[in-house]
Amino acid sequence: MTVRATSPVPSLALTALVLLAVVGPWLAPYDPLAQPDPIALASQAPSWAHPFGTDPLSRDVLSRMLAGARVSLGIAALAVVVAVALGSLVGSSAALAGRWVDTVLMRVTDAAMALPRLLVLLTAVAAFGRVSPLALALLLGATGWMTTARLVRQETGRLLASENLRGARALGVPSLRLLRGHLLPALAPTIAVAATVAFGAAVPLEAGLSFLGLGVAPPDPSWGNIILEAEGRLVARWWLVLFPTGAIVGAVLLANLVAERLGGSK
Amino acid sequence: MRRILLARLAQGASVVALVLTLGFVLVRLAPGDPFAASVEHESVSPELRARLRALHGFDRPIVEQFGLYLRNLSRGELGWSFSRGQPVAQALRDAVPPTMLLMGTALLLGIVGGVLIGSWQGWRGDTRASRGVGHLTLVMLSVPEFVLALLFVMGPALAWGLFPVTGMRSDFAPDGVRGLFDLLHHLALPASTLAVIIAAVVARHQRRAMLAVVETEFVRAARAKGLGESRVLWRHALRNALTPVLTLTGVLFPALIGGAVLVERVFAWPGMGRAVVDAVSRRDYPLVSAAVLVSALAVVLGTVVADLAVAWADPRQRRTE
Amino acid sequence: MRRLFVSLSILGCLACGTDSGSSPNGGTVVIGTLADADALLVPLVDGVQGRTVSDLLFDRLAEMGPSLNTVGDVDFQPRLARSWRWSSDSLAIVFSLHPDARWHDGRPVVARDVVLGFDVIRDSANASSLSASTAIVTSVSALDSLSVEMRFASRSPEQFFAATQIAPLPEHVYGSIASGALRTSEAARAPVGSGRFKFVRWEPGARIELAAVDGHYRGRPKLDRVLFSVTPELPTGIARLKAAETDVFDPVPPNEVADLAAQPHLNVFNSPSFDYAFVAFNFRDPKAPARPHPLFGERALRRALTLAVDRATIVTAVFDTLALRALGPMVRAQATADSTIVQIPFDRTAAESLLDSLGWTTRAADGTRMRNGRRLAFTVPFPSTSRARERAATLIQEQLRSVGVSMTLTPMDFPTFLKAQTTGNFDAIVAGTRTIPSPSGLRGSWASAAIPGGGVQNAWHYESAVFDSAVHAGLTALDPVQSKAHLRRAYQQIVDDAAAIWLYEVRNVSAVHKRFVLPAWRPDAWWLTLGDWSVDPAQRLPRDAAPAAPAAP
Repeated sequence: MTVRATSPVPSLALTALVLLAVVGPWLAPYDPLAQPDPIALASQAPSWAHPFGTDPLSRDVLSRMLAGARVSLGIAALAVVVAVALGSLVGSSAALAGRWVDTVLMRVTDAAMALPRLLVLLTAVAAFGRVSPLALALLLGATGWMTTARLVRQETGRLLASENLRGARALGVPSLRLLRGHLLPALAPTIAVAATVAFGAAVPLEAGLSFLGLGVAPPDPSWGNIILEAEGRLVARWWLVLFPTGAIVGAVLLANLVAERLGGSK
Repeated sequence: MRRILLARLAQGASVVALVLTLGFVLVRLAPGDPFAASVEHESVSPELRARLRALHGFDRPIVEQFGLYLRNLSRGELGWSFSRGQPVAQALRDAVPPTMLLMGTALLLGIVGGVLIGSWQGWRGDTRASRGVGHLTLVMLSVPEFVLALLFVMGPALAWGLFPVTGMRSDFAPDGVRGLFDLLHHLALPASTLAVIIAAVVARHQRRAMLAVVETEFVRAARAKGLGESRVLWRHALRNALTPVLTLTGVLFPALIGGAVLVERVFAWPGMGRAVVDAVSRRDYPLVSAAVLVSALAVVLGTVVADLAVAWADPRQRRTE
Repeated sequence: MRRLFVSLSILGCLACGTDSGSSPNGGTVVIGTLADADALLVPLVDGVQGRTVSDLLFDRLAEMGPSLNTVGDVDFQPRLARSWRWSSDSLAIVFSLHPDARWHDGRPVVARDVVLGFDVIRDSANASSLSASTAIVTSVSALDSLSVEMRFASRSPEQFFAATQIAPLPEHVYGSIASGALRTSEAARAPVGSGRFKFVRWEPGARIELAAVDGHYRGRPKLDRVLFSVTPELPTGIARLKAAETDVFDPVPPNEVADLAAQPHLNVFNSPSFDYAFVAFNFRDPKAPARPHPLFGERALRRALTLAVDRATIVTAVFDTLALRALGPMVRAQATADSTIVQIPFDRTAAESLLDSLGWTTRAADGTRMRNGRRLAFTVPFPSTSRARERAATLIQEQLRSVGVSMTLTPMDFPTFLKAQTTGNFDAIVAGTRTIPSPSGLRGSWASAAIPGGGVQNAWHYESAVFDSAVHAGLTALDPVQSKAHLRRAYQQIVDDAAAIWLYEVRNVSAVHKRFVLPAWRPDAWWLTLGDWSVDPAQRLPRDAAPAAPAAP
C-alpha cells in the first residue's frame, strides 16, 4: 500500500513498548509501592522529583506507570495469546471437520459473541473473588476468542477450497499434517491481524474493568487503576489521567497501526 | 430469500437458547444473593437473608431453578427485579427504549458520519489530508470509551455548561416540543461519545472499500466517459462500497452493547447497560437473565437484518447461499 | 453568571429584611443519591435510601428526639400517637392515636392500622429487617378505634424504642394482600402513607417524587416537592450538585468536601455519623472453623499487628479531618460511648520486638517474617465499592510490610464480600458497620451466642466471657449510669483483646444548596426535618416556582 503503511516504525515502537514493560521496573526511580508520606506528599502535581506527580497515597506515578506497563501490557499480551490460540483452534477445527462439528462450533461462537462481554467479565470477577493479574488475563482471553475463530474459520475454508489443498486432501494427507504443513503458514497473516486487533481491545478493557473497581487488586499498579486514583477529578488531578490514558491510547494506536500494516500487506 | 431468512432465524434461535443457558448458569456462579443490604446494617441478620433465599427458591439446585425459570418464561413471566423493586417486564419496558434511543442515534450518526468520512478519504486517495483524517480516526479508535465519556462530561457539560451533566430528561421535564428538545439536549453527549467511536470504525472500513471500488473498471470507465465527478461518486462508487458497512453493522452490535454499558454509567443514562451493571452487583438474577436474553435477541436480529440487507444489496451473495 | 446571580440575590435578601413569617410556602428540593430505594414501606426497607424515603412517607407512633437517647420514653416526641400510658407492671403501653391523623388517601389513621404494622413485621414471609429489633413486643391489639395496646415480653431499657420501630400501615390498603405477596405488590410500590409528604411517582433507577400533604395533622410542609434523583456514578453525582441540578448530597466523600465547601451556592454540614470501620481478625481457622485461627488465635500477635499500624496517619490520609480514630466497637454519637478507653498505641519498635519475642524472627526472601517455616502472611478482603476502605487497607498493607508482615488484599464486589464475611471465610477483613444510637448492636456483632441475642453477626468469632457478661449487664440495666459503667468494662476488654484494629468513625458530611433555610441539623437522620425546610424567597430557582407535581407518566 502506501509508504506509511509499510513503515517499520509502528512495529519497532510496539516492540520498544514491550521491552519497556520488561525492563520498566528497573528503570523506575522509586519503589512503586512505597508510600513516603501519605499526608504531605499525597496527590502532588508533576515536579522534578516526581516527573509524573504522585497519587493520593504519595506513591510515585512514573514508577507506577513503569511497573503498570508490565501488568497492563502483560495482561493484554497473555489475553491475546489465549484468545488467539482458542480462536484458531475453534476456527480451524470447524473448517477442517466440517458438517455438524462446524455447525456446532460456529453456533457456540455466535452465542459467545452474543453474550455481552462486560457482563460476563463482571460476573466472572465476582465469582472468583480475588482476580490476580494472571486470572484477569485468562478471563480476557477466554472472552475474546470469537473474532479470531470466525476469521480463521473463513480463511481456512477459503484455503481448503484452493486447488493444491484440495489435491492434498484427495491424496489422504491427515488433517493435522495438513494443518501444520500447509494451513498454519498460510494462516499466519490472518492470525497476526487477529492478535493485534485483540490486543487493541484488551488494553482498554482492563482499564474499563478498573474503572468499575474490578480490575487489578491493590497495591499492584496497572494503567487502569492509576486513572481510578483520580477518583473522577480529571482536571484537578490531571496527571493521574493524562499519563496513563496517553499510555493506553499509545499502545492501542500502535497495535492498530501494526494490524493495519499486516492486513494491508495481504 | 425466504430460505436464507428461515435458516438464519433457526440459527438465531439456537444461539439465543445457548446464551440463555450460559447466562443463567453464569450469574449464579457468583457468590451472594439479591438480599445483601446496600449498607452493612446491624439489623440485617443472616437468618433473615436465609429466609428470603428460601422464599424465592434460591436455595434449590440450579437445574431445578432453571426448569422453573423456563416454565415461567414459556408463560411470559420474567420474574421480579430485586434491584429495581418492580417486575422484570416493567423494568425492560422502562430501560430498553432509552438504550434503543441512545444506540439508534449513535449508530445512525456514526454510520452516516463514518461512511461520509471514509468515502471522502477513499475518493481522495493517498493525499496528505486523507492521511491526516486517517490518523485521527485511528486515535479515536484507540481511546477507551469511558475516558472519552468522562472528557465530554468535564468539558462541554461541566466546564462550559452547554449540556446537562447526566440523565435522559430533566427532573421536571416540560411536555411537547420543549420536552423533545430537553431529551435531545440530554442525548447529545452520550450519543456523540458512541457515535465518534462508531464513525472511526466505519470510516476505516469504508475507506478501504472505496479505494477498491475506485480502482475498478467501471468507475474508471465512468470517469473516462467524462461523467461529472460527483455523479460518478454518488451513482457508482458509493453504492457499491456500502455492502461491507452493512456487514460491519451486524458485527459491531455486540461490541456496541458493551461500550454502551460504560457510557450509560458515566452519563447516568437510564438504559439497559446501567440496569445490568446494577443487577450484577446486586445479584438480581431475574433481571440479569432477562437482560442477557434481550441482548442476545438484539445481536441475533442485528446480524440477520444485516445479512438480509447484504443479500439484498449484493446479487452475487444471493446466488452463492 | 450563576455566581453573580447568587451574590446579587443575597444582597437583595439583605435589603428586603427578614419577613419570613409572611414569605409564601413552596419550593422544590432535589436530593442527589447514588442508589435507588430498595423498598418504600417501612417494614420492608433494608437500605439507607429506602429508609430516607419511607421515613418521609410514614409517621411512627413517636419519634426519637434530637438527643438520640433510646432509653425510656422521656426523649421521644409524639407523632401518630398523641399520648401514651404505661401499665403498672410496665409490660404494656396503651397509645392514643391523634384524631386528626389521616392517610394520604384521606381515611383516618386507626388502631387496626397499628396492628397491621406489627403483623407485617411478624409475618416471616415478609422477611422484615425490623423483626429482630421489635422481638420484645409480644402482641398489639386495638382497644377501640383510636387506642391500641402493645404488650412486651419483659422490662428493658429500650422497650419504648422497640415500640416506635413499628410503623402503622393503612389496613384498608395493605390488609387484603396475601402473606408473602406484599413485597412484590403494586400497592407497595405506590405507598399510601401518613407522613408530611405523599408519594407521587417512582421511576426505578432514576427518581422518586414526593409532594407536600395539605392539611397534615402536624402542619403542611413549607416545601411543595421532594425529589430523589439517582446518579449512580460518584463523579457525575458531585458534578450535578456543583451545577445546582441537585440541592442535597449526603454523604459527601471526604476528598470532595473542600471543593464543595468552596462553591458559592452550597452549605456544607459536618456531623457525627454511625459508621465505624475496623480490620477484624478471624478467631477461627476459615478452613476448619472448629479450630482457632493459626495466626490470630494468639492475642499477643493481634496486639503486635495493632501496634504496627499508624491509625492516626491513616485517618488523616484517607479523610483529612473528616473522620476520627475509632475507639472500639462504638461511635462517639452514641450516648454510651466512652472516650476514656485505654487504646493500644502506635509503636513500630514495640511491634517489632513483640514479633521477635513471639518467634517471628527469620525472614523470607521478600522480607516477610517466618516462624517454624510458616510465613507471617494472610489475606484480607475488602469491598471494591468502598474507596475509603481500599485506601485504608492499602496504607495498612504498606505499614505492615515495613515490619515484615505480608498482607494480601482482595477486592470483592459487595455481595461476594458480604458472603465471605457472613460465612467467616477470611483471615482478617476490612469491615464496617452502620450502628444505631442504641448500643444494642454490640450484642449481635461482638458478643457470643452465650448471651440472649448474641453472636448473630459475630462473623469473626470473637469470644470473651468478660465481654459477654459486661455487654449483657450494660444492655439490661435500667439505670443509665450503671449501664454506662458495664459497657465501659466491655469496651476496655475488647480493645485490650485486640479483637480488631479499630480504624475510624467517619464524620458525615452533607452539602445543601444555600437557598434553603434549615432547622438544626439532625446527625442520625437529617431528612426527618425536611418538613420544616423552606426556600429563601429571594433565591428561588425556576423549579421552586413549579406548580403542583404532574401525574405519573
